[in-house]
Amino acid sequence: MSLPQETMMDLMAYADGELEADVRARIEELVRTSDEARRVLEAMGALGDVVREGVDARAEAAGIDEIAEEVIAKIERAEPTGKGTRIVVPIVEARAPQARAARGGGRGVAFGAAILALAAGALLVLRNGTPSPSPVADNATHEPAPVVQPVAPSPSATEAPSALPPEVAAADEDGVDLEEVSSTKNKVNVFFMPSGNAGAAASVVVWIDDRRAGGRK
Amino acid sequence: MLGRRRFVALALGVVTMALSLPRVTSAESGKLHVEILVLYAKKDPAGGHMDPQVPKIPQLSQPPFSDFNTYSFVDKQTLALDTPRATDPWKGKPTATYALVTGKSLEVVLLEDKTDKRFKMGALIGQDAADRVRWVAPAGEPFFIGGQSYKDGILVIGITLRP
Repeated sequence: MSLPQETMMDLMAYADGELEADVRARIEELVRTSDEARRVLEAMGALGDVVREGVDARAEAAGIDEIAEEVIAKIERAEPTGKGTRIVVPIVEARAPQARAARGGGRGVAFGAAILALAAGALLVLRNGTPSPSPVADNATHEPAPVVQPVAPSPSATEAPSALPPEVAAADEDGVDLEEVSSTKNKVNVFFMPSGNAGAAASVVVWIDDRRAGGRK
Repeated sequence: MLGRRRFVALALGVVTMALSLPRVTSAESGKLHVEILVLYAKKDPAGGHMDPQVPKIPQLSQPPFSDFNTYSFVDKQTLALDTPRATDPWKGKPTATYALVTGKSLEVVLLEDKTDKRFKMGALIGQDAADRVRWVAPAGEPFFIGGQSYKDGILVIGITLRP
């Protein structure tokens, strides 16, 4: 490859549509006159297409847009669990799509952030020697498979308040973010409290109703 | 969409930040405290009352707390997160233990200093850690656990990390 490094960088920038007019004109002239420059540019374009298609395919395969709807449907289908069953509310799944959009921005940014987070996490693990247990690993080793607990309305005015739909709010960066709730005996509801009320940051209330267990220790 | 060079530059920045992150040590976590506020809430058909000892907490005016019209102060304590938890879950993590007025135990655990001024926390309520909660919050922001039955109402437990 005989093209100088600076020209290669300009070709990359050209492929990304980031060049100023004068440099862009120079690169366009180079592409017209140099087979090698043209091949490099085509390779970059093909590579970009592959990356974009791969990301889009993974996003579609992962069902990003359908996750919230599936979780809600699962909650609606779930039956109350029996005694001794561990009740788990996976908050990440329960978070509403609106809240995710408000927090994260577009799909592309989210995937980029995920890749960056993975890279940083891998480096931290390598650096610290031993990884800290992840929520998934923790549940997998110590708990049975999670059962999604339906968000139950309060049957009477004297009982616990009903949980609002999760689109009420999710915690922002200054607020509280819930990661896990589990109970072996009690019914659990989760309330997301939006920020902005009298200056309060977004917060979360976990409602562990222990009347079914008789308030036992 | 991020350009390749911007993505690479951003990734390098993240990697550099990751390498510069300090590890959580028991000495650092020992400096932290947890404030546990316990309120008694109920629905009084005869009319509401707010105990003047109850701190002004904006969240109390929002659901689900706004469903209750009477709040009484029960207790507030600040405890050092300085006892390594002896058993799983979260064995070895700095813990503070508090006895609820119901007789149940409440253990608050500092799981991780996330170094973005946010902390991963955990709480265990009851015998054999029957109820387990994990959350991330900055210092000074309360996390609430409600619903524990007490008298003819419930307890509202506010857990706030204090430097």
